[in-house]
Amino acid sequence: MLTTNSVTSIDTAVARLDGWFDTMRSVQGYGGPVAHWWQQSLIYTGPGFDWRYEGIIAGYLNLWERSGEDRWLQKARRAGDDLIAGQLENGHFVASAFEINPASGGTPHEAACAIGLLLLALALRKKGLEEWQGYASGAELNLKTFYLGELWDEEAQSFRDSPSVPSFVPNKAATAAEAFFLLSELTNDQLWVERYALPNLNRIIEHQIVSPGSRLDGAVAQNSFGSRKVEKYFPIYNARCVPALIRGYNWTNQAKYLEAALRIMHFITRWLYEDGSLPTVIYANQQLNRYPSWIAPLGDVLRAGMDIKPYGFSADLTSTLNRLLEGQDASGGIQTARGFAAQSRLGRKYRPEKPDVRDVLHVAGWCDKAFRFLTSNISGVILPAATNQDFEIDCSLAGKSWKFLETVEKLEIRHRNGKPGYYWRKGEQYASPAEPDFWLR
Amino acid sequence: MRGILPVVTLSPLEYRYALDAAMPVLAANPGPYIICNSFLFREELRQRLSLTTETERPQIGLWVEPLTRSWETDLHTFQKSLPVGAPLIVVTSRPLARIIPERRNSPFESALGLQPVGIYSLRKALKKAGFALETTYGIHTLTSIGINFLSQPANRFRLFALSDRLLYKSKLHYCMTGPLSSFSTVGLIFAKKVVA
Repeated sequence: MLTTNSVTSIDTAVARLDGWFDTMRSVQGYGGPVAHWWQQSLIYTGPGFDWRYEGIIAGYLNLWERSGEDRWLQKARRAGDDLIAGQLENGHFVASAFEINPASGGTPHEAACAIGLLLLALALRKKGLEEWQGYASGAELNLKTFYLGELWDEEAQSFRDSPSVPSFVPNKAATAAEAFFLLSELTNDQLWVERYALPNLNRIIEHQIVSPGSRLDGAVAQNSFGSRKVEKYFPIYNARCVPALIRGYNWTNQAKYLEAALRIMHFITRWLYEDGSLPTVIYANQQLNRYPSWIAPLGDVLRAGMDIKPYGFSADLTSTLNRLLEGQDASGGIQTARGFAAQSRLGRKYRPEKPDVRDVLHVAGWCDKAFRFLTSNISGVILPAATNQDFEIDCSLAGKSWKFLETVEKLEIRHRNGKPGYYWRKGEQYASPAEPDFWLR
Repeated sequence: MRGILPVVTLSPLEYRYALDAAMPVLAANPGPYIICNSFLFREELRQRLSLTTETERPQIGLWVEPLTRSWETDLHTFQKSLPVGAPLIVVTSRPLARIIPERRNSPFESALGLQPVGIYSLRKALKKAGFALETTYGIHTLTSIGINFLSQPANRFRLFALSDRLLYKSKLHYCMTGPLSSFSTVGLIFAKKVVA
């Protein structure tokens, strides 16, 4: 467990996040707009059966295991039921593509959904509750039909990112590998690990820079097409490789997996700024883009740091934890980032007057990462009562000034003169109205 | 059900962008009257809309990819079906769409918007049919194509940071109005029926 002087802050943050997640639900599941490095999805706001469910289910299970309170298990099960209801006969989950939604077949999102379902199945089975089987079946169907049926590359011995393109994305493969570790645990069948998870971990290691003394030592390349590696290094994605590598070490006792995981964490902490933030991407020539400088996604970095601590990782990530907690707003949601507006900035130094709309957006598929980490670090068994208040802030998008207001019922972004520019009534599938500035992809 | 099509089978971004841009208006006016002349885009619509919601008295029209052989008949249908005050949204390819790699082998040669004066004729006919043109957007504009094009040599010269920044800069110019919007791969027209 991460030691911090703000234990009570974590309890409160978790309680408020839980309340905020409830506001993001429709009957079908957790929705809301998405801001990401690659793309945005600001118009489609319906449920997304993507990696948000990994952190939401894991987080609620954490709370249930630590408190024994049934209400947390009910929330984990409700999320699992969302996934099962959103699963197609072909194993895919609908709207599983996060920033590309609406579309199915999202990676690593469907594997992350399978992780959520498998964690839930394992927890229920341990408790002697028979309903575990339905969740396990849903995960197994997805992993067999999509990951084995469409993405497994026999020649490369790893999962592709797209069925028809020889490709490999380490962080996505790590998520899939984690799912197969859990499937082995559930089925007592070693095949899933030996045949699929470990070969993927080996390929992740092939994508890692081993160059002692270099600032890039330990970095894992973002992806590859055939043998051509794309030499971009994203710290948050690197962090997502760590839990799977630790599982590989625990399974095999082979030091290479642990060394790779430790190397990743040393790479990440080497680039950590004083304020606890990280560059978003570092390139092979060590140029970087610091923006958007993540906040809620840092939950995955903190989780990786927490998971690897028993194996000798000792860096202090308190500043990162503080950055995460300070990013929580009155609504209970945690902001996505700082500096989205600087993502494409050429030349001039970034001096923000106001945050970008995408910075202050609270995104279920990022907040789940914070939630998962924070729920592992609550201090007491009963969370404090928390209220979710209105959150209002001046921000900018496309060079214009906007007033951003989130309540439990809506997300409304208005021009300075009060004219509505974007309106999402929570629970609705689409924002309406949405001016062209919000069509941004 | 929404979001069924796998990522790998999605239409090119500019068409999805146009359909997404139409969604806020469609969401506010349930029961659209839809004419969609492309199987590909019909699937994309299914991703976003329940196509069974068509009603006898539609309050909004959506017209995807008017074709040279049928556009006048289709327009007449919209004219008859929509009440005064109803919005009509038109998504159409433009001549530059021929450069989209995914569409090079698609059977869209008869798309009206691909013709040199196709959209001009359409706009003129819309007005004549009692529709006021509110805004015409160009999506995936020449500006964004140009900036994106610059990002490629930057990448070749290992100026990776510059290359990525140019790529994201190009996204900021992906959609525009005005005369330059004609130089884009997809057109999006918002009209409103004003004369019975």
